[in-house]
Amino acid sequence: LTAHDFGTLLPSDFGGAASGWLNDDIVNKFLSVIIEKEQQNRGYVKSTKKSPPVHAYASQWWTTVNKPKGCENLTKWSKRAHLQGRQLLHADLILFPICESSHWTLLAVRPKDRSIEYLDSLSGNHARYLNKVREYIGTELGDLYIAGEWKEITHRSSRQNNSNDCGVFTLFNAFALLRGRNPGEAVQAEDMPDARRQIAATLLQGDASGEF
Amino acid sequence: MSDAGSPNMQKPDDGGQSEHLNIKVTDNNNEVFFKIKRTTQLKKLMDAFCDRQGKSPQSVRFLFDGQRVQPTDNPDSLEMQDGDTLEVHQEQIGGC
Repeated sequence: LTAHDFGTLLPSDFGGAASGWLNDDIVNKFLSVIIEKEQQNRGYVKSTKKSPPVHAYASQWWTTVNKPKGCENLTKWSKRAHLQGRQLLHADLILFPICESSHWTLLAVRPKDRSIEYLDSLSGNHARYLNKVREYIGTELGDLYIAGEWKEITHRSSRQNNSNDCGVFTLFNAFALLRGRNPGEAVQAEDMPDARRQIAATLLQGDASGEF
Repeated sequence: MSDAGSPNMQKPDDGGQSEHLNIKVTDNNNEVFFKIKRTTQLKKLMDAFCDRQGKSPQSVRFLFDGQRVQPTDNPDSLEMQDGDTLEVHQEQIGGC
């Protein structure tokens, strides 16, 4: 990560644009740090090549999945993550961050619960995202995918009170899910300045042992 | 398969054919093919792609099967196979 990246998180400290719009490097790195911590906490060892209990895909998945043959291409990603085909069903929580039209949101898939959640701090339209991730799950699972089993959850995220903080909501909503909390209760607009500092501290430390 | 963008094109072939891989690098608009050794740092190929497309290395991200590629990675360390593709993505940014 560079000063440019940190400038998107803490603009006044790192000379970034005042809007403080997070970039993909901050989002992806933070998610990978908190996911790795959770994997460690659950005793998951990467080198065993077993399916991880929790995983986050890089935010570029949304670009990839929307290309021709996008879902099939994404199965190469899941193969690398040991979440291909029926392996997907072994995971508790898989995070799919999305950046589209300058807006960060989060899809959270809970294969064991058969649930798909869309967390959006602006409460935008969710159907496209839910439908696309269903298409992807269907591609992975084939006959094992029974559409009616998978319930959809929306509108649990709190709302941002400005035009800047959706990326921070996305990361802290993910953090809340990993800690088993309701994002709507755990993450509020007034927490955002502190949340930015906590994200920076987590990234600099490379470890997410701090309190939520 | 390889074209003038290949970092090793001018070098003599000093190993068996299996030592080399054809790798496609694409940003969805442009495709560049490289033939490299399994142990060649991918930095060579990333820099060559950026040079050719007139992009600054800081402005793009290279992904292989969803994993961020570091300049010091090589095909062996990423378990790449002949014909694999590196995706090039632009910086994503969002706030509202």
